Amino acid sequence: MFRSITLATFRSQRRAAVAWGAALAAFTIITMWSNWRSEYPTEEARQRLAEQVEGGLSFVQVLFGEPERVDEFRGHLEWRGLGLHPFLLGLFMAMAATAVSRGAEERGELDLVLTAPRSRARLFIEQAAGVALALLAACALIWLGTLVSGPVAGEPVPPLGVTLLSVVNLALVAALFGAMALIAAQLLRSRRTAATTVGAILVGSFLWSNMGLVATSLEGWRWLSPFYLYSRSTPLADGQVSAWALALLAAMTLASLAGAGLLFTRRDAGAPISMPWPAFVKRAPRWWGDGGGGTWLLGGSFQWGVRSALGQIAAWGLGAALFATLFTAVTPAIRRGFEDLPTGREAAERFEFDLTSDAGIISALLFLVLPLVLCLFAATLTTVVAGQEQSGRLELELAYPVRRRSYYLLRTTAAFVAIAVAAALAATAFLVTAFLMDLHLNWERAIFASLLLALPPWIVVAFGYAIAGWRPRLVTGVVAGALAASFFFDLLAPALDLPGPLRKLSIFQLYGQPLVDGVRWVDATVMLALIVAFLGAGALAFGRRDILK
Amino acid sequence: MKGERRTGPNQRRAQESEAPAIRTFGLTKSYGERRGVFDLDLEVRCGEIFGFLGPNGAGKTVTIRLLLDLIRPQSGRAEIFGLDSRRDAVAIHRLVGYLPGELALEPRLTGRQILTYLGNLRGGVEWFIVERLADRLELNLEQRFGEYSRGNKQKVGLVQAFMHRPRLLVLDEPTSGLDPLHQETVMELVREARDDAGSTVFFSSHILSEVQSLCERVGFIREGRLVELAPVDDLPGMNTYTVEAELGEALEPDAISSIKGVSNVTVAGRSVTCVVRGDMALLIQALAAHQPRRLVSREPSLSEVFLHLYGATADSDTGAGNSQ
Repeated sequence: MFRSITLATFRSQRRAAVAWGAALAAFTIITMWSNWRSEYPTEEARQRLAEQVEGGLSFVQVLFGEPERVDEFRGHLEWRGLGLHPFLLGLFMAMAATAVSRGAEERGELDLVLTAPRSRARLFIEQAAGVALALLAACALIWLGTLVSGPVAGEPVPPLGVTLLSVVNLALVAALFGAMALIAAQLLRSRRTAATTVGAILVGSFLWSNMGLVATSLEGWRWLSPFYLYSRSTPLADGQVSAWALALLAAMTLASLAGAGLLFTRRDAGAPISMPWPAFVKRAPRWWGDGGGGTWLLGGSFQWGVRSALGQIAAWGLGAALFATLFTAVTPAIRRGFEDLPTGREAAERFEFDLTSDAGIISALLFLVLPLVLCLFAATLTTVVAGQEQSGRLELELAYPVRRRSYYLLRTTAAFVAIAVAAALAATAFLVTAFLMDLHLNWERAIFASLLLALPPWIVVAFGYAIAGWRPRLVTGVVAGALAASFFFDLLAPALDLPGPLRKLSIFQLYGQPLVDGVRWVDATVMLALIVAFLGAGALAFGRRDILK
Repeated sequence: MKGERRTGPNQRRAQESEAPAIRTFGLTKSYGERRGVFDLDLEVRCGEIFGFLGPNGAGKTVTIRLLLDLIRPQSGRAEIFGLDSRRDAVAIHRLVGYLPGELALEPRLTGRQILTYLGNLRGGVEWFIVERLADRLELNLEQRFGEYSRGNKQKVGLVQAFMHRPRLLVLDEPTSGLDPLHQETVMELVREARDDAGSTVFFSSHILSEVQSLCERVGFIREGRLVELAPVDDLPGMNTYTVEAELGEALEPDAISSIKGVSNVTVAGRSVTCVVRGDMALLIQALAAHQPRRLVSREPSLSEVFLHLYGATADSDTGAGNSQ
C-alpha cells in the first residue's frame, strides 16, 4: 500500500471515502424506497408532485436543485436521490484535499516526504491522484447505490450508461472543490482554515445556484456557481448531457490543480505562499484567529476554548446569517407562488408543514437548515477537541493544577458559547430581515424559535465531547454518523409514518417547528436533559480514563 | 497574569510533610508483556537530583505519567510529598513543574501567548521569571510555536516547567534537541533549582554523561522493572572509559597493560586502544612518552553500563556515550 505516494495518500483517505460513499449510497436507496415506493406510489401522486415542485413547493429546489421529470423514476432519482450529493461530495473532497496537503504539513510529514528523490511537482501530482482515487472509490459506491435503488423502489435497474454519466457529472463538480481546497491549502496556514474557507465557498455556491431557481432576481447570475454547470446535465432524467458544461468543469478542475501545483512547488514547506500584501496590511494588528500578538482570551481553559474557535464562529455564524437573510428576503415570493397553487393545502399536509404563511415557509425550510448548519459547526468543534488530545496537547495542560472534570466542563462551555454566538448571528439576521420585510410572524414565537436554535447543536457538542471524554479516536465517525442518521430520520419520519415518540429520536424532531407550533416545553426539557446527561457522562469518563499521549 | 492561588490544606500538608518527594508502592501499568511498568518501588528524597535512566521503551515516560495522574495504575500507588497521586492530583500539580518528552502545543500561538496561557492556568507565575528564563535560554517569545525549531520548542517547555519555581521538577529528556551550549544552561538551571529553591529534580534521560554530572542517585529501568537504584558513582562500569590513542612511535602492549586499572589493551601499529577504570594519570604519563598525536576517551554507553549490570547484551540502540 505504501509503494507510491498515490497509494499512501489513498490509504490515508480510504476509510473516509468508503464511509462517505456508503452513506450517500444508503441515502439514495432509502430515499427512493421511502419517496418513490411509499410516499408517491401512484401515477397520480407523482404527477401532482411534479406540479407542486414547479409551483407552490418550488422552494424545495433550494435544497435539491432543479426538478426534471420528477414524476418518472429516473428523474426522481436524479433530483431527490442525488440532489444533495454534489454538495456533500464536494464537502468530502474539501476535507480530504486539505487533509492530505496542509494536514500532512501540520503533522510534520511533508519534510520527510520532500527528502525523497522525487520532484515537488511529481509529489503534488501523486498526492492529487491519491485524492482522486478516494473520490473514485466514493463515486463507485454512489453508482452502486443508484443501481440498487431501482429494484428497491420496485423499478428496473436504471441503465448503466446514464447512471454512470450522472455520477461522472457529480464527480467532476466535487473534484473542482477538491482542487480549490488544494489551492486554499497552499495559501492558508492551517488545515482547519483552508477547509473552512472552501466549505464556506461550497455552501455559498450551492445556495447561490439553487436560490436562483426560486428567486427571479438571482436567476441571471446562477452561472457564477460551479453547481450551475452541474445542473446543465441531467442524463438520468432526460438523457441530456451538456458536453461543454462537463468540459468546462473538467477544465476548471485541471486549471485549479495546475495553480495549486504551481504554488506548491514555489513555496516553503510548512508555510503558506507569501502574499504580496501592501505595507499597511502587514502593519495592521492581527486580531483574526490566534496569530495576533495579543494575550487576550488566554486567561484559562474556557477563554482559550472561545479564542481558538473565533475563526470558526465568524465563518459559520456569518454564513448562517447570510443564508438566513437571503431566505427570509425571498419568503414573500415563495408564499405568493404557493398561494396560486390549488393543491397547496394538501401538499402542506403531506409535508406536515403549514406552507400558506410566511411563518410556515420559514419554519419548513430556514428552520430546517439552520439547526443542521449549526449542528455541523458543533460537529467540527468536537473533532477539533478530540484532535487536540490525539496530537498530545492535553499532556501538558492536564499536568497543571486544574481538575480534569472542571477542565472538561470549561472546554465544553466554551464550545456552547461558540455555538450560541453563531446561532445569535443567524437569528439576528433572520429577525432583522423579517422585521424590515414586514413579514407576518408571531414575534414571540419567532424569538423563541431563535433562542431554541442553539439547543440541537448543543446536544451535538455535549454528545461529541462525551465521546471524546470516553474514546477520542471515535469522535469523528460516531458524531458524523449520529448527526446524519438524526437528520435523515427527521426527513424520512413523515414518509415512514412513525409513531410520535419514536420520531423524537431525532434532535431535529425534538426541535420541531416552534415558529408555527410554539415552544413544546416537554421537548425543550428533553433536549436540556440530554445535554446535561451527555455532559455528566463525558465528564465522568474523562475524569477516569488515561490521557492519550 | 492571575494572582497567586491560595495554598490549600493538601499543599500545606505537603509542605510541612517530611515525606520523600516521590514514593511508589508496587506501581504497575501494563501495555502487554514487557511494555509498561511493573511492580515499581521507588523513593526519591527531597532536595536530590534523581536520574531515571533506561533505554527507549523501558517505561520511563509511563512512570512519569503515572506519577502525574495522566494515566492510572492497574495496581500499586504513588505519593508525591506524601500526597496520593490520584486523590490529590491537583495539589500535586501545584507543586510540580513538568516537561514532557514530546511537547505538543498550539502551533498558531506565539511563545509569549503560550506561556501567558499556561501561567494563567497555573496562577501565581511572575512574568519577570518567564522573561529571565527566556533570556537565559535565548528564546524569542514573539515567534509562533509552529515556526520554532525543535530546540526552541524544547526551550518553551523548559521555561514553563521552571517558571513557578516548583518544589518538584519532572523533566523527561530535557536536553533533547538543544545545542551543547544550551544543554549546559539547562544543567545550570537544574542545579540552581536544587541549590537555591531546594527543589527536587526527577531527571529522566538516556544520556549517561548528563545524568552522571548532575545526579546524586540514579535508578535504572528496563522492560518496566527497576533493575538498579544506587548512587551514581557506585554503578558498575560508571568510572570505566575506553581510551583510543594515535602515537608518534610504536608502543609495546606491556608498557601500559601493567598499569593499575588498565585492561583490554589492543595495539595495531601506532594505534592503541584500552579500557581504563579509575584514575587515568598513570596511563596518560605512559602514553605521553610515545609522542601522542590524538587522544580520545569515551565514557561507557548506556548499553555498556547495562552490560556491566547484567553481564548480558543489552539493546544496541540504547544510546551512545559522548566523546570527550
